[in-house]
Amino acid sequence: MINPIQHWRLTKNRYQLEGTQCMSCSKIYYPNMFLCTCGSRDFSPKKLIGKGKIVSFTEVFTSSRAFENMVPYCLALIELEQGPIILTQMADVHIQELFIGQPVRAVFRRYCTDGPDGLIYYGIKFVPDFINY
Amino acid sequence: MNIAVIGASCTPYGEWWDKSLRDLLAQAQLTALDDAGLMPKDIQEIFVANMCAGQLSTQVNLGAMAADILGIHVPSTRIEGACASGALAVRAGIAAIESGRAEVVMVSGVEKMTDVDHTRVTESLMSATDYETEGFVGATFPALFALVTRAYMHTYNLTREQLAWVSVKNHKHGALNPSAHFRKEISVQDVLKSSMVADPLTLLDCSPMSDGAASIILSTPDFAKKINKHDVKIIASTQACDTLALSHREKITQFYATQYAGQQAYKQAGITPRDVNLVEVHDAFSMAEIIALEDLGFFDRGTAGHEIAQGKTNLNNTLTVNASGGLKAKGHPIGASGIGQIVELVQQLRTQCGARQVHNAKIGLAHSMGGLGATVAVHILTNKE
Repeated sequence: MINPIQHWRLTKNRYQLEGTQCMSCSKIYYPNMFLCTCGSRDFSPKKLIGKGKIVSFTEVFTSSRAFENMVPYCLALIELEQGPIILTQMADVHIQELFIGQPVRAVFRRYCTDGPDGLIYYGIKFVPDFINY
Repeated sequence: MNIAVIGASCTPYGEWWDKSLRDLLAQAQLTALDDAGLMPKDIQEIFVANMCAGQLSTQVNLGAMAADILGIHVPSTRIEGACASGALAVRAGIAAIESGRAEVVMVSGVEKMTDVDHTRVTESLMSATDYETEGFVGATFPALFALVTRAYMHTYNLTREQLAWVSVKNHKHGALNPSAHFRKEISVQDVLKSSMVADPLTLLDCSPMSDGAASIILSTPDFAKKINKHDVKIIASTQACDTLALSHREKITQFYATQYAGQQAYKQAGITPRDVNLVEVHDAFSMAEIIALEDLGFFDRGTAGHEIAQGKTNLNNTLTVNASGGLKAKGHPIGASGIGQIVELVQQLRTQCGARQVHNAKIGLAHSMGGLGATVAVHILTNKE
């Protein structure tokens, strides 16, 4: 199950898509990194622009308890325009509408709840660019 | 490298509702002792592999349990590396012998997966992913492998039917193995029609949740000669890692850790992939077998699926892959799986496998993977002098 304290530590990453940028070579990571491939240990937080394209995707039918009432749901690996690849859920879309290379953008959505009386966990999901709200 | 395997035993894999974690471990350990013709007092150190007992059986400290079963007080340590736990324990056993610390070492692995409902097992297995970025968004293990599968099918034009042949072939082999979880042949249509787990992977693309244990006894070549059990030896043992999260990889249709561990193993054994005539690879998912065979240099990139569908990896064809039935049909009791692969190679190299015997088995390779290509270990065994 998801731990509320663990979630609280990661809210900047999960709510605002905050990654980290190497001060030496400018490479961007998500969510964070301690040692850059260039050898540097100096990083600064970097808010990521939530735009990218789909590297791969799936639709999940067998889940953990936390996501049981959401199945089936779509997951995708997204390569962000700024470099990092992130794993995310896709929102408001059927798997038949997804394809590799599809342009997508970030939206803020509910992920799961800790039972009827527990916390509600939010985070970033992605939608295809063709969706207009 | 020259480490003798003087005892090897595997419980049948399956849903053993009447057997506990301890029952299974004891069964494997005692039959391994019998196979070697040794007494508990002959064992100088134990390594025991397990992944989920802390979560599924509320039991850790399995090192003590393994020694307790034998009634001995030797050093005994639990090893964990997700689905590669068993193979890592073998490496720990080899290291204990190579260091000169021990002459005879027992390496066991056990997993008890059917005491709880499948969603709890799914959650436990998810702890082998990068939980904060993958588990949080609802990624399961099959889901991560489904992402790899779709990217692979897209890149190399692998068809859904070709992918299904991996499971069809492994069930065909498993039907010949009295210890296999599933002893039933299946068709391509069965795979395609089985329920969707994570698109495009169906239930029959995925290895089962099995109960089971396996145990081997390793020794120095001198000790093996002394008791006249020097027919099978380990000539390479390697291990490599990759990023814990799939999203941190540059390539997701091949696994660097397998490539590196494989190359190092061939170098250590002084052989090439062409010298190997039987392979047990980590087919936790059908896609994983295809990628492993390419990463290990048996087939060119993008071709293994086609070769498997053509029957090239069937029993006693060009290269026998997963004669045991693999994790798919023999079963996948996580901690036992990596050791169970070695047990299969030992029994093949001793010509003890009956209907699934690989003719003229000389050099066997075992490949075990923990997480999504994050931890990989490779072993090479032979019966040559």
